Amino acid sequence: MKHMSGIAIAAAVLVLIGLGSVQGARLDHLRDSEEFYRWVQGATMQYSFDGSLIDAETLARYGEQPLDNEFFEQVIAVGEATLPELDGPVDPNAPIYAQRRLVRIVQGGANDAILWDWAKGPETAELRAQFAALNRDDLLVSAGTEYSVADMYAQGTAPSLGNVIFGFRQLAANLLWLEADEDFHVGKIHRIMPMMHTIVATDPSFIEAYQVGAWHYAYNLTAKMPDTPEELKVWSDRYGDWVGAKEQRYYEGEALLKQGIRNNPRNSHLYFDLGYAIIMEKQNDPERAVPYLREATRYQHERYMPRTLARAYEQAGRYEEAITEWQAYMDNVDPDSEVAQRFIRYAEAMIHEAQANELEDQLKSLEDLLEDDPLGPMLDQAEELQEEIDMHREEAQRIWGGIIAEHGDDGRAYAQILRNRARALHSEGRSYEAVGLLDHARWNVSTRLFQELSDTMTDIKLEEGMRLTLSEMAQLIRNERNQAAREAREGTGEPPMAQTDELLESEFEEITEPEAVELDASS
Amino acid sequence: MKPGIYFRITWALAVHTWREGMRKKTLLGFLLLSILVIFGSNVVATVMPEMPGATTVASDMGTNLIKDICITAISIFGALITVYVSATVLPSEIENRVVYTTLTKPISRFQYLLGKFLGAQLLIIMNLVLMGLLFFVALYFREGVPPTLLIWSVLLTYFEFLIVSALTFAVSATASSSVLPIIAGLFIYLTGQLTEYLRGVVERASIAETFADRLVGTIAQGLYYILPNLQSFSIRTDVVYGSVNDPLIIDYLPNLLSYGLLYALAGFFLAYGAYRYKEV
Repeated sequence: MKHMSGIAIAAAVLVLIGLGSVQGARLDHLRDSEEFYRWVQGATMQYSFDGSLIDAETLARYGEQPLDNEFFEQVIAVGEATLPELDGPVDPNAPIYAQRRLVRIVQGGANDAILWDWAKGPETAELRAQFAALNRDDLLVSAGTEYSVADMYAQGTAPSLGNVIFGFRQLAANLLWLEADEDFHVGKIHRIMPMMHTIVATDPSFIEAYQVGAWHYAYNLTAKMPDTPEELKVWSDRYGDWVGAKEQRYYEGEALLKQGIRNNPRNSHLYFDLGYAIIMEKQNDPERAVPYLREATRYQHERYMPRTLARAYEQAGRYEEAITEWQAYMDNVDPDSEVAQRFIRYAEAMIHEAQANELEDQLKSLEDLLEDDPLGPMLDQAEELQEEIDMHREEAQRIWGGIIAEHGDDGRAYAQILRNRARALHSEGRSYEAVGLLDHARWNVSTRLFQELSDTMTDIKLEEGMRLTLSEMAQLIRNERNQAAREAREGTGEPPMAQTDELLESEFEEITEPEAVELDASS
Repeated sequence: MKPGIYFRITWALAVHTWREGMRKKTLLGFLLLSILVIFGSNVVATVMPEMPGATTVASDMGTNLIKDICITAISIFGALITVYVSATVLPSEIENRVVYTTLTKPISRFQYLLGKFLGAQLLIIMNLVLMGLLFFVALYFREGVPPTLLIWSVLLTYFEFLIVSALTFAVSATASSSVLPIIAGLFIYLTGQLTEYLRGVVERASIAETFADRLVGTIAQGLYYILPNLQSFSIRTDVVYGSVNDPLIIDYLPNLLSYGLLYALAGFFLAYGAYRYKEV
């Protein structure tokens, strides 16, 4: 080292800096690939649920037409051509978009290494360049701003040394969160909502902000709002549905959670909150909740998530899948779960109840035909159907009875037994007794089945020409109006009223006046 | 000189430098401050209210806050300690004239510099380990599981500081007082963090039409490739916040470590080039 000349030192420095530059270029490649990889991951998860990437809500927020959907179609196409086919069967009943190779690889998170290799590989070089260009020109609204420091400048804000150097963005988000918490405790929910959006823009990995923001939208803001009657709903381009002020809040909560999922596609809590708290509980759509809840269980999750998925299957009328899910829960989580055993029995009984209901509908159609030809060939068929119905009802009764015998007092099972007994009484012509039994069941046995029991009661009353109570009449009128409104809407073809989103906005402003908001902390 | 003896002497110099550094009150002050901030983050997280609704296991705001404050504290105080140590380790030897007695012994300048540089690294590593350990313990007591990802985060932070340290060391090799190297060290750190900005300039210049813009773009591109980009190490945050299955770390780690090492070697050779003919 003593004899090392100045030239040799200079050469060594130059070579080292050169090698450092090469390594820097390699790191740039990795970082570009990472941006692309994370976007693909989030975008694919979004796409896997309904076959589209950017929903109407997000598109409506931007004046310029974003190119997310178009670009993502290219990504899907390249994925189909270059991604490896995964082992295992493809569900032929799944929608076509869920059968894409990219979707199958991204779902569940077990194949992230394959996705990463693909995202940084030569087969996606062109896509990466295109992604960078579109991102730079703000034409990808689904990309967020969280993936690189350079994007902070692209927002048009002055570069802040504090932000750039020490990553204070997350700290700022935390401080905003504290502020939001203070506002929550004094009931200023109208102040919290913009804050929640600011928090997630500042720190897109702030899971709690998505969760709590969506909770405020769907629960607290709507706590005292009545359900909007169908005839008062207006078409929203933003949500692609007919909504009132209350339903719009649900969609806003949904949009916030979807934004969270795009930014954090491996977090089970976001999928769960969207599937359960919003779609299942508020929008009463268990069928639509199932894919989100299923995705939640694919990542590190809490014990209640697979249980909720099983409940969603059951509520959606997919009883066999509910049984499978409860069985898996017992196999993997809690082999002695009394809850799981009980719900498996419920589902088994409900299979028979559902089959009996379906056969009853068929029987009713046959009975209409039999009125014209009472001794025709339909008579035998009707008798066979009746036998089958009885068999299913008996089997269901046996299971409900078994549940009570096994688990003691069970309101749901007992209410179902009473309901079936009422049906039997009704078919024997003892309709007043049947109505009395149902009335007792809905008030004293299981308030959870109140609506179903009430519906059965109203059906019997209508069939027998019995007098309806005022609330039953009101419910019937509401149902008829809603039905008429739905039918009228279907007849209008293209959804009208582009200005309705503005109308909803003005309604929202009225609703979110501080005095008008009452908290529902119990929810 | 036999290699064994050569490195034993170098190591003795490094240990001496480390001992010398440990006696400096400024350094201890930085360390104490950082420890206070990390400890304070736990206190803040303990008294912080929980928003209702965020009741799940993952919804631990306090843990996030601890992570934020600790990462920030390690970055700020770690950078200050790195700059201070690397900037003072050579000039202070000149100021207190120890260098004259050292260099009269059969020690080459390369050996001397290597010993000093290694000693500075020992000080930086020790400080980082202390801060990281406290952070580790804070998270461990809060979450109940050892936050092993944190080790990677601290390792990457060290390699980021290694570049700053080597380049500051190169400046200090030309100076006789530590004021200029400290200012230069801070400037190097800030520049390294802002190199990323040059990338934006290059991208914007690539769609510009005027010659001046293209020229600026070319210069920015050259600088971008030459200057170390410390933002590349920002992956350390992802490491702490990242999900369990994230496969990226396997690719990033070796590349980032070699990147840090190459620039550190370049900085060290620059220091040697400057110190080689320096009259002391």
